Amino acid sequence: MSFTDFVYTGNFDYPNPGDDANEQTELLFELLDLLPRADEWDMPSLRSRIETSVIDEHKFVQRLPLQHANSKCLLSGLQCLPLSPSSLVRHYAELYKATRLADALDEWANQNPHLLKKFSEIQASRINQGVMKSE
Amino acid sequence: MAGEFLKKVSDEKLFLNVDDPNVDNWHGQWVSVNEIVLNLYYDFEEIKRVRTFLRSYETLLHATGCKSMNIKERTQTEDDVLSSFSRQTAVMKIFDEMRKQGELTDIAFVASFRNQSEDDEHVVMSDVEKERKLTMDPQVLRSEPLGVSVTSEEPKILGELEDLDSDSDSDSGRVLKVAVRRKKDPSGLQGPRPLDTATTDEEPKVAGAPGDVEADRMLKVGVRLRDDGGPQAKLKEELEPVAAVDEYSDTDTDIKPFLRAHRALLAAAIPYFRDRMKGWGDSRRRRLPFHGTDFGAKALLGEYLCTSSAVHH
Repeated sequence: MSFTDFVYTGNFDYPNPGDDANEQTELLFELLDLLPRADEWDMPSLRSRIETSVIDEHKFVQRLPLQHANSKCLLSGLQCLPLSPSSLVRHYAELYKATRLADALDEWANQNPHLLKKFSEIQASRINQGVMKSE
Repeated sequence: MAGEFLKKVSDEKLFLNVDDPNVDNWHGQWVSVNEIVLNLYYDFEEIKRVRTFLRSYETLLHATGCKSMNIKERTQTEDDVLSSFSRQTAVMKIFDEMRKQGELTDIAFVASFRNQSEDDEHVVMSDVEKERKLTMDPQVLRSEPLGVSVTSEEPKILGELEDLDSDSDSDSGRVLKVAVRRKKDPSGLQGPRPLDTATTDEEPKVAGAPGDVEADRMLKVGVRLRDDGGPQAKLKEELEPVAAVDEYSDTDTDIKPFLRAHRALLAAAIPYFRDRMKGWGDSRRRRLPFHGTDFGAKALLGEYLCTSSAVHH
């Protein structure tokens, strides 16, 4: 997808990755990679399209919930994690002004404090065990 | 009532967490409610998602104290937002068809395999030797930036795409080589000279082919396809000027892939271009180097210019 294609068609279309988590993650990264372009070229419509795809079309916010655990962990200043794919979502959302995506992440976090806590506990224990893999 | 009893045994592995009990192996699939979370899409370490069969007992699980991931369902309004994106207006469609046919385009994105100074129309040529091999590897590009400029002149380049498939040095897969050439401009005018393939009897030749004396400069673009089959194959480009570049003026290096577009449509959709195209200074320029755009944005466009089938060579 180039931004000129988007200009001419008003849309982009990626094949549905199905249920495989790895393929989903790959698509998520492809979509996230467009965010800096949308920001750089000052294309709010592209940014909005990306957010819609991530949040609504593919439901990545709820499909990959561990991102929230990771990002919260990073935000709390703990040197607990290498830069994991999931924390990148929040990083991208904030850096490239994808406010709707950032809001969706927050909303998920607010609705699921128990899961967030559980994920954090699991991660903390993995770190303590020194088995946290570099992702 | 049952809930109160079940909550007391929340650590007991009472539930069979499988998709289809008739097909799936039951071994190791018995779980307690503390191990499972409703609405999860994937397992996360010791937290397991509730599989299809067990999900049909959701009410029972809730009564037992099973945790659930709360998700917000999309409202109708958001559905409308989503569908509105897939709308390509009639005008856009016409423009898009014209773009693909190369009709009435008045601007082109041109990949330039050299550094460009910010304020320059006169592009500074960097060390040719260093540019002999540029790859699209991000690390290399960081040190050897791929410039992308916009020109209001539409370059017409006689080119040939050939699958030479003969790079025996390559162990990484098929190599597609593109050779483009341009006839010498007798008028001495700077800039790319149109050379219409429809009005010439000459057949384009592969760069370096014997007898190809008319070509005053050639560029080979090799597209290396990693041989891992599927659509995820990564592309790696090697851009290799094959002629003695020093003999020619800087403007001759305009032999490169380019992407046609319509100024009006770009300006309508992208504030960046709207601003650039109305400026007095910029409007007199043949080239518009991109100011202040980040490396990634240029690299993306550059990569697209070099790999997309929609691009004109």
